[in-house]
Amino acid sequence: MVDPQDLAELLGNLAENAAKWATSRVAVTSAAAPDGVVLGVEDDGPGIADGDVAAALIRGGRLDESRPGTGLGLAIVSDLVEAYGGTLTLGRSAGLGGLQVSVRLPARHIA
Amino acid sequence: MVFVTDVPAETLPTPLLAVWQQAVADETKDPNLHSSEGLGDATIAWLLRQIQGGRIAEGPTLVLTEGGPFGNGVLLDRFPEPHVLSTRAFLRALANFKVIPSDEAVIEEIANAGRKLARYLADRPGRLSPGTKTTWSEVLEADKPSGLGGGP
Repeated sequence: MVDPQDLAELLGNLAENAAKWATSRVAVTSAAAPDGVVLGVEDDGPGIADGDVAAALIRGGRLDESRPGTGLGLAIVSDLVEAYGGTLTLGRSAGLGGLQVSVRLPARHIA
Repeated sequence: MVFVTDVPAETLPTPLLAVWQQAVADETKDPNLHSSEGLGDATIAWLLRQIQGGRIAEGPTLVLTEGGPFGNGVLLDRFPEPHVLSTRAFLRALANFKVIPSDEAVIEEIANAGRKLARYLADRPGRLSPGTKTTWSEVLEADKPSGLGGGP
């Protein structure tokens, strides 16, 4: 479905981002969906305001420079998810209060 | 448009050029910064998105690999029979076709700049569909008519 190294790249960037901004908690989830799989990474950090979601995906763009970073992690995830025909959703974590990132990847057969 | 021997190649501007230029400027000012970290992966991810979105034309595909199979799933889904060259093999091919004077000189320059180049001289066809015969040919030898660019 997804090349293992690509999955590691995708989850690695999301986990690194969550760990950087979390106060103390990060949750990683996965769930089967009828057409594929849904991966979730959420944290209890400050999150991203709805109006800033598009800006958060700009390559090299940084909404908050109080912590080190390159501004590339979420852009890499966005491009990779799109390349696999999936969808990426950024929102507010209901359980932890910080950023919630959901990645839906379609199931497909690779010969 | 860039021409390598008789093969036309389109150069695509990436949205990461400005980011890279800023990163280099920042690192020049402060060597402790790692602003350019991740730019390689970001560029690959951007390219994969262009490929899957149909913005890369069908036809002969050259994939330069370095540092692992990042993106292979997308590439093999779109192009099931690519020729895969490592950077070292690509440089050797360019030298064999006299596009550059020496692959060893470039490799030495890369090493002197502190970058690590994989030692593998990978030059192989990708995974084929069941029942499909490879059309792969030895691209490192310039004298073969079916090689890169059809010879010098």
